[in-house]
Amino acid sequence: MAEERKRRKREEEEAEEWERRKRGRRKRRRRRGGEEDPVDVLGEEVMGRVMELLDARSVARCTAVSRAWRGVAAADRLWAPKCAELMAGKAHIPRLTMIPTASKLSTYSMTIADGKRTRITKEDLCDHDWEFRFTIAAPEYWRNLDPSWKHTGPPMRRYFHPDGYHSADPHDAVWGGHECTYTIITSFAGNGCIRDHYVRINRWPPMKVSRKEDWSWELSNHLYRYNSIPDTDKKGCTGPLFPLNDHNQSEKKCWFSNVNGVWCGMNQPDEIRTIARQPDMWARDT
Amino acid sequence: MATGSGAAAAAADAEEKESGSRMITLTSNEGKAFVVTEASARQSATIRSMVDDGGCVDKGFPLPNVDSKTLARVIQYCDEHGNKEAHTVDERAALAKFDKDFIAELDADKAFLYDVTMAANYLHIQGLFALTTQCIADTIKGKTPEEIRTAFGIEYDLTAQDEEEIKEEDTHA
Repeated sequence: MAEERKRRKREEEEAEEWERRKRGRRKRRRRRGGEEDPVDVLGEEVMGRVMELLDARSVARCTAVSRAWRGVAAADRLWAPKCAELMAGKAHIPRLTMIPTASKLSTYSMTIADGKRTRITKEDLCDHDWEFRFTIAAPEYWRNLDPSWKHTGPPMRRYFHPDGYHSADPHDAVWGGHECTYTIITSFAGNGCIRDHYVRINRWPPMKVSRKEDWSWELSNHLYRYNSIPDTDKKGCTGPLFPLNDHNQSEKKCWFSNVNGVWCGMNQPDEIRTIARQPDMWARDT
Repeated sequence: MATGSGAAAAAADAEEKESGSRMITLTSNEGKAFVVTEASARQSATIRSMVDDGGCVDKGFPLPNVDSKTLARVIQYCDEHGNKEAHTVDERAALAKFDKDFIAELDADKAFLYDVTMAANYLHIQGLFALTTQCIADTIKGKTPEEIRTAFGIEYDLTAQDEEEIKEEDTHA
């Protein structure tokens, strides 16, 4: 009985709401002088041309104005050139831009978010090649072995492997030929913010992680630094498919696993299910 | 003397031919006829292609999508840009000033601005279309969604699901 009453009440409310909207719309149409919805009057095509003139942030805001505005402002046609513009001149293109089902708008916003990410993942380390240089604080003996200091050749290179090993090119003057492993360490404060985040090779001094304007990475300590080498032409792109947030990890309930001496973080299992639905996303160049 | 004025007349003739000596009649949807120079009418790519195809220049062009008030304003723009030269710095500055005043006047009456935009789109008047769309874009630029709704008198009709989507995309805004 109560159920029946509730249902009837809801229907009444819906009808009222519908009536109210209809009235509102009619009123709006009659009113002249700056009070008309340009999407109604100009149509989607012309409004799309207007939005082409706007910067990305303004168009993003247009998506939150009304349903009609959203229909225009979220169009791939508007966002495809903005995506291209965003990627131009960057060192790395995030792998998430390869998600085939994503709209250009969501690709754009995910890419922006990923560009701001300061937390490095194993994918970032393994996907990029790295230039290795000693700093001025390094002992002269080591600096003399570094071609970038002596201007005798290109900087030395270092590689991170998914199995946790770390390597250099053959004939590398500094490389001792010993076994070498790497670890990403992330610790969190009680409020979910990252307290400490660094990459460590063997038991050597930790390297703090930073990121540049062009989305390239730098790992550095007082003795040496690693710089990711631009690789925008790499097929399948680089980095994690689903990046980790920099904050509020405790809220998102991240789980971690230690794989071959490397701490890997993953977001919620439902994200993993999403990956599983797109099996081709696992395909990776070797 | 006679040869001098003859040469001047010939020069004026040639100039007139160049800028379009013929007059063209445009008719609004209310049946009102506007007579403009060909140079002015050629600002519209739609009319230009019809003229070049040797179409009904004498009969005039009926424009069923444009009302008299809008057409008069559009012609004002076309006359300015079609009949005047824009080679020197001064001439270009004068045109720029005209555009600025023209759009400032339209900006005060949004409904009329939309009418002119639609007419410019329909007639393919590139310069005018760029001018009016930029004006609308400038109104939107830098505003929050709430401010845009206020500026254009738009009703909020997004559902909770839409809002969820927007929140997800909004990481950078």
